[in-house]
Amino acid sequence: MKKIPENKNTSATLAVQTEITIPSYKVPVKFTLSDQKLISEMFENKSDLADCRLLVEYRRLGVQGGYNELLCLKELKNIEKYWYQIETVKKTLKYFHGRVLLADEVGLGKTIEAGMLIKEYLLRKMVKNILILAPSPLVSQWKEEMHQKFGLKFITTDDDIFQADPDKFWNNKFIIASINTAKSGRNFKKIVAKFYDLVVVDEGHHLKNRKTAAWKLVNEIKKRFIFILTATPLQNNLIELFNLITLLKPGQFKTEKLFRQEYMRKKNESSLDKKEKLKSLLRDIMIRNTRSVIDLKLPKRFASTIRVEPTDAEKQIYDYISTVSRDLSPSLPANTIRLLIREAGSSPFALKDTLIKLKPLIGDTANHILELIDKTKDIGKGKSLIELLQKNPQEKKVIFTQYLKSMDYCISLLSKHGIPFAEFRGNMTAEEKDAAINNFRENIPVLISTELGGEGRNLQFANTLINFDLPWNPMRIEQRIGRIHRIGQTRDVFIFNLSVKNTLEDYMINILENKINMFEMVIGEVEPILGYLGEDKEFENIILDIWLKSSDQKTINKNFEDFGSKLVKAKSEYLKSAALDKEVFGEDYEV
Amino acid sequence: MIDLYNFTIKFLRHNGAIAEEKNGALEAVFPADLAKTLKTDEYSDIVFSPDEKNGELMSFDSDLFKKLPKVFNEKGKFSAIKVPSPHIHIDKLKKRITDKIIFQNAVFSAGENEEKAISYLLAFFKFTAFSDERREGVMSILLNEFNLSSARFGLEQLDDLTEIFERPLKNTKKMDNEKILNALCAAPKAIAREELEDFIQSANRRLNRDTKRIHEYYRTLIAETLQFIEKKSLGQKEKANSLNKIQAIETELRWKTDDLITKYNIDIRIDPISFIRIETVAPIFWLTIKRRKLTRLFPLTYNPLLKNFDNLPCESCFNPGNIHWVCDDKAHIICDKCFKTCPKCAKNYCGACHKNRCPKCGFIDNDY
Repeated sequence: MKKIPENKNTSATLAVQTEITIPSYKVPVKFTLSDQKLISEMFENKSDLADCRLLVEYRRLGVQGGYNELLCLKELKNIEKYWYQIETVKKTLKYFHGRVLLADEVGLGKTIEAGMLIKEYLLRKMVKNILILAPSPLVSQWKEEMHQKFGLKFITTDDDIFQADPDKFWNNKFIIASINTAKSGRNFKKIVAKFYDLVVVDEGHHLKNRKTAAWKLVNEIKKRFIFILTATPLQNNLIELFNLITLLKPGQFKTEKLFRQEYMRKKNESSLDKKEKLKSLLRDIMIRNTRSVIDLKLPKRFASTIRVEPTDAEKQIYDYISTVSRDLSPSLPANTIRLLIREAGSSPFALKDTLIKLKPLIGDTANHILELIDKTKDIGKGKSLIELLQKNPQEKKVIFTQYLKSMDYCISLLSKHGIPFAEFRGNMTAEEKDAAINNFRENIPVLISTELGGEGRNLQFANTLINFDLPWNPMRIEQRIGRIHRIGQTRDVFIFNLSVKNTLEDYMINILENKINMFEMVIGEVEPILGYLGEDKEFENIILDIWLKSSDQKTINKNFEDFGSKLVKAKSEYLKSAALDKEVFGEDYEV
Repeated sequence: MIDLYNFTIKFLRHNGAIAEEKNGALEAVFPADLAKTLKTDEYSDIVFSPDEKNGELMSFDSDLFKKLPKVFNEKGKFSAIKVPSPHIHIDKLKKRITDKIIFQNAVFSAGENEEKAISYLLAFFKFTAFSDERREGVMSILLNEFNLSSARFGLEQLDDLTEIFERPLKNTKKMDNEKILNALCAAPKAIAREELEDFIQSANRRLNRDTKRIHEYYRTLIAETLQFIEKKSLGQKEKANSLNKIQAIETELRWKTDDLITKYNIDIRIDPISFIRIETVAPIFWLTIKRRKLTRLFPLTYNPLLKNFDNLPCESCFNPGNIHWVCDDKAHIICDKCFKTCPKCAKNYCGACHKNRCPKCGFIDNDY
C-alpha cells in the first residue's frame, strides 16, 4: 500500500485555504393547475350543499399522511414481509430521503426492501422512471422478482428489444440493465443524458473503485433517489466504502486525502481511527440489518447427496443426449441445449416432449432415444426416493422437482408404494394451492411440488427436503431450502439431493457441496460468492459450457475441478470481506 | 375535522342507507343501487379495524373507501346557497373603514354606500407537492365574486350559518366570469405556497446544505491539486495534466450543483374539489383611491360570513393579505409580495402589470 506522505496541513488548515463563498439557491417551484375549462365545467351540475360537504370531507380524509403508513404493503404478492424490512423502508423514505446504502447481511432481503421502496414511491407518484443496474447474471432474476413479487414490468438489456433498437430501449420508463452493458461507451452517453427519478444499483461493491467506468457511470447519472445494495460494502479497505458513499453523498467524508488522514491509520487501511465519528457519518446514509440484531437464529441444516447408479437405459439416454447436445450446440440455441440436458438430468420422462419437438433436427437418434424412454419403467432415483420416504415415515417431507413429467413419475411411484402425498403445481388455482398446503400440514406426510409451485410458500412445519432433481442455478436451490429453513423452523433441517452418477448435476452438486459447502452456508451467501467469480455469465451457462466443451470423462473432471478451485477462491474472498464488514460495522446501523 | 367513523355514518345516511352504531362498527342496510355501486351486500356490517374479520372493512386504504367516488359521481362539485343579509348599523360601520383599510402608498376616501346582492365562491382545492418528499392537503378560499377580495374560510365555518333561502337572488353583482376564473386559478397558488412553506423551506435548507457539502468537497479537491502542483517539481506535461484535472473538477461541480437543484425541484399540483356559491345581500362602500395622478373607485364590501369588511384584494395573486400597495400605472391594488423589488436592479414593479418580469432590466424572478 502506498504510504500517504506526511502533510503538515491538517484538515482544518486546508479548510481555511479553501474557504470560499458558497452560493445559495432557492428550489424552483412549479405549479400545475387544472385548466380553466375543467373548472368552468364543474359549475354545470348543481348538487346539495351536503354533497359538497361530504366530498370535501372525503378528500380531506383521503389525504395521505406521512410515511408512517406504507401504501405498498397491501399491493405485494407472495412476499413474507419482516418488521425490519418495513422499518428499513420507512427510514429510507423518512430520514434518508431516498438516498441510501442498503447493506443488510446476506439473506435478509435487500431486494425485497428495494422492491418495496420502488413500489412505495410509485404508489405515491413520486417516481416515473426507474433504472436498475445489476451484474449481468442477475438481470433476469431482477426482472422476474419485480414482476412476480411487485407486479412491475421492467424491460431488460437481455430482452430482444435492446438488441433490436438500443436507442429506443433507453427511452423506456422501467429499465433493468446489466451494468457492464450500461457502462459501455455508447450506452453510457445515452444514460447520463437522461434524468432518472430512481436509480437502484445491485451488488454495489462493484462500485468500489472510482476509476472504473461503472463508478463513473453511477456518479454521472442524473438522479433524484438512489439505492445502492450490497452485503459487503467493505471488501479490502475503507477507501472502497468512501467511494460508495461519495456516490450517494459527495463530500460526506470530505476528500479521499482528508478521509485517509482522518480515519485510516497509515500502515493498515482496514483498521479504524475516530471510529465514532465515522459511524455517525455512516448512520446518515447506510442501513445494515444483521442476523443477530433481528434475532434470526435458525436450527442446524444437514445435507447429503445420494449419488444414484443409473439403469442401463438411463445411462444410454443420458449419453445420447450429451453427444447430441455437443454435436448440435453450434447450431441450436443455447436455451434448447440447456433444456435437453436439464430434463435428462431430472428424469428420462421429463425429456420426452422436448425430444419429440426436436425430432426433425436430431433425426433417427431421437427416435432411438424415444424408444428407450418408452421402454423405461423405473429409474435409479425412484428406488432411492422410496427408501428415503420410508425412513421416518411420520416426518413431513417435501419433494421438489422442476418438471411436471418427473412429478408424474414420482406420483405414480408413491401411489404404487401406497405412500400418501399432496400435490402442489404452478398451474393450480390459489384455492387449490391453499388446500394442498393445509392438507399437507394437517394430514399428509409428503408434498410433491414443482419449483414454480413452491415459490413463496412457507413450509417450515416440515423439516425434510428431497431434491429429486437440481436446478442449475444455486440461488434456486437456496430458494427451495428457504421454504423449510426459515423463521419459524424449530427443528434441525435435512436436505437430500438425488443425482445420477456422472451427469452434469452430479458434477455441479459435487463442487457446490464439497468445494464451497453450499448446504452449510447461510441462505443468500451463494450470490455474493458467485459475484466474486468475476464472470459475466450466469452460473448455469458456465457449467453448461464446461459440459459441452469437455468430450471425455477426464476433461470433464479436470474442467469442473478447475472451476471448483475458482469457486473456492471466490468464497475465500467473500469470507474475508464479510469478516471485515463485521469488524468495521458491527451492529450499529440496523433500523 | 370529522373522523372516518362519523364520516361513514354521515355518508351512508345521506345516501339513503340505515347505519346504526354497534360496538365500534356499523350495522348498515344499503339501498339496492348504493349496494350495487359499492359492490356490497344490502345488509352488511362495516368494521373499522383490519383485525375485525366479520364485516366490510372501512379504512383509508380499503377497497370500500376507494369505491366512494363512484357514489359521488358528479355530485358535490358545485352547490349554491343563500345566507341572510346582516342587520347592521351602516353609519357605525362606515366609521370603521379608516381603521380597516390602509394603503402603503395611496390615500382613499369613503363615498356612497348601498346594499346589493352579491355572491361569494367558497372554493376547495387539493394540493400535492412532489420533490424528494411528497406532501398533500386540502385548502379553501372564499372569493368575493363582486370585487375579487379573498379570505381563508373553512368548511366548518359554514356550520354557523343557519338560514338558507329557497329562491335565488335576482341581479347578483359579479365580475365577469373570466376575471373570476383567473382569480380562482391564481389564489390557490399563493395559498398552497403558504400551506407548503415548511416543505419548501425544508427543501431549500437541504439543497443549500448539500450545495455546501459538494462545494466544500470539490473546492478541497481543487486545493489538494493546487498543493500538489506547488509542492512537486513537476514537468510541463504533469503540470498541464493537473491543471486539466482542476478544470474537470470545476465542470463536475457545476453539473453536480445543477443535479442537486433538479433533485429538489418542487412540482405542486392543484386540483379543484368543490365550489359553493354563497349569495347574500351585503352593504357596499365605494372608496375613491388616489395614487399620484391616478384615481379609481373600489367597492368595499361587508362580509356577512366573516362579520367584518372583506379584505382588499390583491389583484395579482388574489391571496388574502393585510398590507396593500397601489401601482403607478393602472392603480392595481397589490399585496406586499406582489409589489415587487427586482433582485437585480432594485426597481419596484407591479406583479399584476408585469407578473414576474422586471420591466426595467427584464430579470425574471423565479421565486414569484
